[in-house]
Amino acid sequence: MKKIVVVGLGNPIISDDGVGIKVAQAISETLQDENIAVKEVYAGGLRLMDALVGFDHAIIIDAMLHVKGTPGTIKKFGVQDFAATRNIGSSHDMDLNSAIELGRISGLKMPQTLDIWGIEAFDILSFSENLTNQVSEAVPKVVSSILHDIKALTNDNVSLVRG
Amino acid sequence: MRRVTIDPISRLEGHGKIEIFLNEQGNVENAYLQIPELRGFEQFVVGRHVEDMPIITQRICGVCPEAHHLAAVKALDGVFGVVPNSAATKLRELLYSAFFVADHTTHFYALGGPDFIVGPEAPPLERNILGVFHKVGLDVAKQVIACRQRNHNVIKMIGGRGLHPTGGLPGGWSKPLSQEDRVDIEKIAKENIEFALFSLKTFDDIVLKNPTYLSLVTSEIYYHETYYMGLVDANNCVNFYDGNVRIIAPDGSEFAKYEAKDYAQHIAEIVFSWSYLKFPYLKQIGWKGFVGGMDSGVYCATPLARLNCSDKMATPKAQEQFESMYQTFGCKKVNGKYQPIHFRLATHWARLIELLYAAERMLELATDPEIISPNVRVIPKEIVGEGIGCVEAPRGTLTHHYVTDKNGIVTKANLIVGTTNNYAPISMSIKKAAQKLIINGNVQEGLLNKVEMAFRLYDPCFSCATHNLPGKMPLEIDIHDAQGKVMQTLRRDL
Repeated sequence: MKKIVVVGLGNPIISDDGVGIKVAQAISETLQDENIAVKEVYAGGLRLMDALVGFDHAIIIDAMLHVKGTPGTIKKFGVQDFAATRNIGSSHDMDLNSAIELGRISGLKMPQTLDIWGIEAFDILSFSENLTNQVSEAVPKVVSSILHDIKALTNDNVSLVRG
Repeated sequence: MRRVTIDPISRLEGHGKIEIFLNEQGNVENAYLQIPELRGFEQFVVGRHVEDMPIITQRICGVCPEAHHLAAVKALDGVFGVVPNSAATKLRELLYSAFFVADHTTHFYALGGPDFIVGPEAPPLERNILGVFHKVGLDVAKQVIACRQRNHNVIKMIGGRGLHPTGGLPGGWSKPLSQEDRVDIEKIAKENIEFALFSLKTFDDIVLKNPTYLSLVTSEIYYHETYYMGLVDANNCVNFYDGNVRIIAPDGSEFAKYEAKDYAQHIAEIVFSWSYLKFPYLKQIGWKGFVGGMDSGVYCATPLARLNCSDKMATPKAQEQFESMYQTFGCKKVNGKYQPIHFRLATHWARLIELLYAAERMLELATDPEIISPNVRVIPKEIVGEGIGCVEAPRGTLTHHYVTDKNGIVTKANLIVGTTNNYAPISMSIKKAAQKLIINGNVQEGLLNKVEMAFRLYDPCFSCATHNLPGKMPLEIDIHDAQGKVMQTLRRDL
């Protein structure tokens, strides 16, 4: 049985930056399956890598910002879509590809496959536990798409919470 | 005037940039770093129960939640007028030491190390942690990962969660440490000491024994004479968790030593219209601009600053390394204390000495009989209504200040975070590196690298602003002419 990890990435008190966390929480309320872990992670790079250890497939959900993006837009990426992330150059840690590669060369079991869901944010600079409207509306759509993917990955062999 | 912009961290136009201004002659006039300022923290926390602050404030940052947790808990001790007993204090410090080991390890191998171990001139795609391990061997990679993991486990054992601990309460800690966990932590502390010694040896072999790197460390580009800030214990030794704030002047004399609660008498902040940043400076000296020296209120709070503020290290192995570093730089002892090191790249060395100190301190605390005391809480009985908590975060002195009403509801909160202390010196370091590499309008090779190295040594924290899902990370310098028009763009797509 494939082990899957769903990771909501973001900051739960910086408005739309917390959208990944909100999606993960919604998925966690829906799923009840011993082969699927749902986690909240608050930083990228190595801390994100730590959360992926031991799984076959990872699903990461995070806020994203494009220069002319429409808030609430949903996009699905593969890891190859990110040559490098911002974390590598100046900040605190490293980009996702390097972090996974580091895990691998250190002998850790890292996911073979990985999907990243990005939700276009509007406000990522204000302290708030709430999402802005358009971003909030995207949450059930992403949740539903991810659950659809999980069903496909497990050949529909997944336990959901009743109701 | 020409304007140069390096944009390594921007998420939104106008945020998180390095800006360099040139004069009519094409030489660097000024430089500063813009960091995105998150809006509305005070409004966000006002009206909440003050007991929630250790949980809320650690969300501010994905990198050093433990530092915010402990500064907040110490502020709560003040708000509730309660002094934790020594067992609880030691438990807090034990968790904090494990955090320092993990954090300093990450910085050295993932961030600071690549510049030296892989080389300052290496292409950016190799100048990262994978490049480090390519050079020093995969076995080291395993050790780095293992070091982080075992110390996160310690944080989990003591703090309840591996990330974002929950153990801190006003008056102490939420649960005592079991003998079984204590035994594990003692073993981990010993492994940490070995790992810290190994890391120092690596630094010695690769950096100090390499004349090119050593000359970079001692080069004028990365030299500033400023004041330094750090917490010290009763013996004037570095302490991360507690003590008095000591300020050392550029000539090495003690300028001030005060209790953290008196910070407002010593530190003021200046605001400029061109930046979102507030620049803290020493109130009694005053703001004289982005300059060093005895007459300028600019100070610095980093691992090197902490060592500069101390007479010695509190643990024996770290003390040996401390002696070795100050002697290597030819510092003289005046009144029992070494004169400060002003070469900023020595911060990487200081960070490793702190790593060793944190590991040794962990072992001391883990073998202290009191650490498994079942009594780790003094129950608060009143609400005083104001508290100030201060710890050394890995990237500088961190202060939390809360005011509440009589029911313990927050009415005011002020935070001075570690990196904030260093805004002015970071800008000064960037300026100096840029001055050396932009002459009469000619931007020389290596500007990006040298400027990156200048701000990276401070380990500035943009984590909360940079973990969201990005596309490419361009490092960009825009050069503007006197009319503000872009003449040239240097760009690196990582």
